[in-house]
Formats: sequence, structure tokens, C-alpha cells
Amino acid sequence: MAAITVERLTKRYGGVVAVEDLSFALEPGTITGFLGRNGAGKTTTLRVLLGLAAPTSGTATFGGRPIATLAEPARTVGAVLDARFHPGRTGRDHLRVLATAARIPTARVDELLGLVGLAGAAGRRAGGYSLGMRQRLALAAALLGDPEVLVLDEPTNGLDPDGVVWLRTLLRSFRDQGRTVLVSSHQLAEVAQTVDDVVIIERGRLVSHGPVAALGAATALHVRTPEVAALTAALAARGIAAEAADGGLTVRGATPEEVGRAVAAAGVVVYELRSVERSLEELFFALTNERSA
Amino acid sequence: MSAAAIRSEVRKIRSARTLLAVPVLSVAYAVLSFGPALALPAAERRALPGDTLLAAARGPGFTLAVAMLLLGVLAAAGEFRHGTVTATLLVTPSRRAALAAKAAAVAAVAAVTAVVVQAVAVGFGVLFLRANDVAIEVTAGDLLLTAFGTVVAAVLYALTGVGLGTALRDQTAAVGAALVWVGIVEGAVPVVLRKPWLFRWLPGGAANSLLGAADPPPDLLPAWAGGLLLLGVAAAVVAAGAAVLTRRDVA
Repeated sequence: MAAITVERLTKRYGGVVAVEDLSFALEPGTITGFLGRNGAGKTTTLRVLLGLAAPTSGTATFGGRPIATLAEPARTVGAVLDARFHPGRTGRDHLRVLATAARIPTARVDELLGLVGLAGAAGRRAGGYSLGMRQRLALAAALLGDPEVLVLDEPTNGLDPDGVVWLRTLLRSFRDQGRTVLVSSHQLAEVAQTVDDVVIIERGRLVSHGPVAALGAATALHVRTPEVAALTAALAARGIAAEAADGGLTVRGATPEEVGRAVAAAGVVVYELRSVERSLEELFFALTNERSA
Repeated sequence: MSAAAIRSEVRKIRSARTLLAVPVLSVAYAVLSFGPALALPAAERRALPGDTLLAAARGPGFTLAVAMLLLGVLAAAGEFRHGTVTATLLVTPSRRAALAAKAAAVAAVAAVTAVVVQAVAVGFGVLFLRANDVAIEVTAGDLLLTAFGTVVAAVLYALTGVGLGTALRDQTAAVGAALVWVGIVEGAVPVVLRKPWLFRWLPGGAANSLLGAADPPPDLLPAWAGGLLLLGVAAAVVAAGAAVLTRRDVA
């Protein structure tokens, strides 16, 4: 049973389609990056998943059950959405309010305040918290029920570099316990080092879902040569497309071996042949531009 | 609705000064309302009628009810204003259960506040009258009836506030609507329309008939009818809040 299943989810606001026919399923023990530009429909999807917005059609479930039917929701799902608090309530009281509703012992509140590094600020009103402190408090709230699934919407907003590293370590240990993380971001570099899989959406539609490593494997080759025309012709004769770039050629869809043989057969001078990993950013834009083209 | 969710809602009120201030100030108002009695010259104090205690018991009731209306509005609409509704619904995803828990908690706080206000009003009244050698000519039954009416009015106003705040979501609009209703509509409309009897059919009139249960004011409904009318208003407004909460997305 998938930990999170989004099935044919569509959400319209009036005439505006925020999410359209979106489907994906996440297995337990994975960290999945939920990627898309601002306005692509990430937050809407998460809000439907978390029961805060009703889908126009389709379903979003945890272990096959909508959040509203979970017996103990806080022990199944923890979420960080907008990190907003009553400004007059202390961080500790915010957590106590939630712990009380979820029948979680108060001792757990202080344990989490220590874990997220807010023990010293717990007695202060949340209205005075920095953005980073708010994110940490929101994370503590998400972790209160020791849930099986974490859903995080842009959790690194306002976190300092130490905080980002800390969060990464936390999510990995969470994953290593067989739990599931869905973390949205519009910054690929940020999640690329943390996630196992990515779900990429654009304009509310699924663009790609798979292991982050598979995306990275879509590499290109760079050939540095003074004889661009001759090599282009030699590659074309073997059905390999190439384009002039940066003192040579960029070749896609061919192995270094294939290119090397073409070079030898044509007798052209080559100074360098190297593979170029497409960054996740380039890949993302390539994927989403294909969709919107 | 679970006991845990209700306790959580009570904790919300206790842990935010702006919410806790409402019951605290209500009790403070009950204390301050003795000012005029203390300012009376000694001769006038001794000449007070024996049923003054009943008026003292009834005195802070309407202000208390309006304060509890505001408490309900702040407790409900404040969740949207401060965005805490998201965290609340993640722990209690059933919207009806979440609303029921908040309504129960605010009603409980209103009831406790009303009991404290009554204890303060009657306690001070007894001390004051005895100190001035005024014979108290009020039965315990009448005092209990007044206390009961005060508690019922406070609870029903509080529930109406929760419904109003949940239905409107915009805290400023909800507080404004409540104050305009109490301060202007109920006060001005019967006068402007030259139909003073209208007031008896409005929530304010109904609340006053509850507060005056022991000594029914002539122009108002009997206490039981006033209670039913207020109950109907509270039920309708809470139902409106529930309808909005269950149908509309929490943005």
C-alpha cells in the first residue's frame, strides 16, 4: 500500500485550473521532492491531500484513506504548510494545544522543542519569532505525533544553512525508519541532495515522476574540436545529432564510444571528449518547456 | 467531538492573552459596576429597597453576554486571522468535530465566567447591603433563577459568536457585525421604526428576559420564550458557520 496516493486529482477555482488530472503514488521509505515553479499547483495539491481544500474530482489519500477518516491523524501525518501561529501564544503553548487535541503527552512537547532547537525560546510569544524559528516550530508541530508520513511545503524557507543541513539529516533518518516524506520546493538544488524521487508538475499537470538519479543520467557529451563542420558531418552520417557549442559540439543521445569511433573514422582532431551532467535545473526547464511548448 | 479536542480549545483560550482577557475583563467589569453603589451617600445606601440584591445580580449580565459573544467571535475568526486553523484541522480533520469542540469549549468558558460574575455580584451585594443595615428581601430561588438566566444567556451568546466568527472568517468584519447588531440595530431599529415592541423579539430582548427571569420585565417575552428564541438564534448561526466551514476550502 502506497503511503501517499494522488489519483486523477483535479482542482479548479472558478474557471482556473490549479491541478489537472494529477496522479502519483509514493512508497514508504522514500523522500520525494515535489517540484514545480511558483503557481504550478504544488501547494494546492498538498492542501487537498491534507483535507484543507476539497478536490473538484479525484482523490488524495494516506495508505488509501482520506485524512478525514484517519482515526489518529496526528500519528499518521505531520505537515508543515504556512508556519503561522497566534502571535500572543508561546511556542510551547502552541505545541501543547495541538498535543492536547491529539492526546499526545506534554513531555513530548519539550522533547520536540529541544529537537528543533527552540528550547530556549519556547516560553516566548510566537509573534516575536524569526522566520527560521517559525519553520522550526512548525516542524516540531508536524513531528508531535511521531507520524508515518511528513508533508512539507517549502520547509527551508527562512532556515539558515545550518538549519537546512539539520533538516536534511532529520528527513533522511525519518526515511531510514521506513517512513515517507513529501517535500515541495521550487528550488531544485535545495532538494536534489536530499530526495530519492521527484514528482515534477507544471501548470497543474504531471511532467515527470521517477528516481532523481534517473533524471541525472540524461547526460550530454561535449567534444572540444577545431573541426566542427567535419565532425558534425561525420556524426550526422552515423545518425547522431550534434550542435555547435562553446569551442566544439554538444552531442545528445549517443555514448562516448559511438562518438569516439566517429572521430577516428573521420580523422578529425579532438582536444577533449567529456560527459556533461545536466543539472537538475536544466533538466527541469527542459522537461517543463517541452510540456508548455 | 472529543474530550481531547475540547480541552485543546480551552487551552487555546487560556494561552492567548487576547482571548483570556475577555472573561477576565468580564469579571473585572462586574467588580467595577459596584462603583455607583459605593459612591452613594450613606443615607441613600441605608434607604435602598430590600430587593436591591436582585438588581445587583442582574446588573452585569447583559454586558457579560455581549463579551461572551465577542469571545466566541475571536476564538473562531481568530483561527483564520492567524492561520492556526490549518494546524487545528490537521489534528482534527473533521470540520464538524473541530467546530463542535470549539463551541463546547467557548460555551464552558462562558458558563464558568457567568458563575464567577454572579458570585461576585451577589457576594458583593450581600456584603454591601448588610454593611448598610439593609434587610435583604430576595429569596435564594430568585437569585438562582437569575444566575441560571445569566449563565444561559452568556452561553447562547458565546455559541452565537462562535457561529458568526466561523461563518464570516474575517475577524474584523465579525467583530464589527456583532457590535453593530448589539449597539445599533437592536437599539435603533425599534425606535426608528416606532415599533418598540420589536425589541422583545430580538436577541437582546430575549437575553434581557432571561436575565430578568426572577422578576419579568413587562415589555419582554417570558424567560422561557426568550431562552428558546436565543437558542434558535444560536442554533441557526452555528448551523450557518458549520455550513460554511464544511463547504468552503480553508485557504
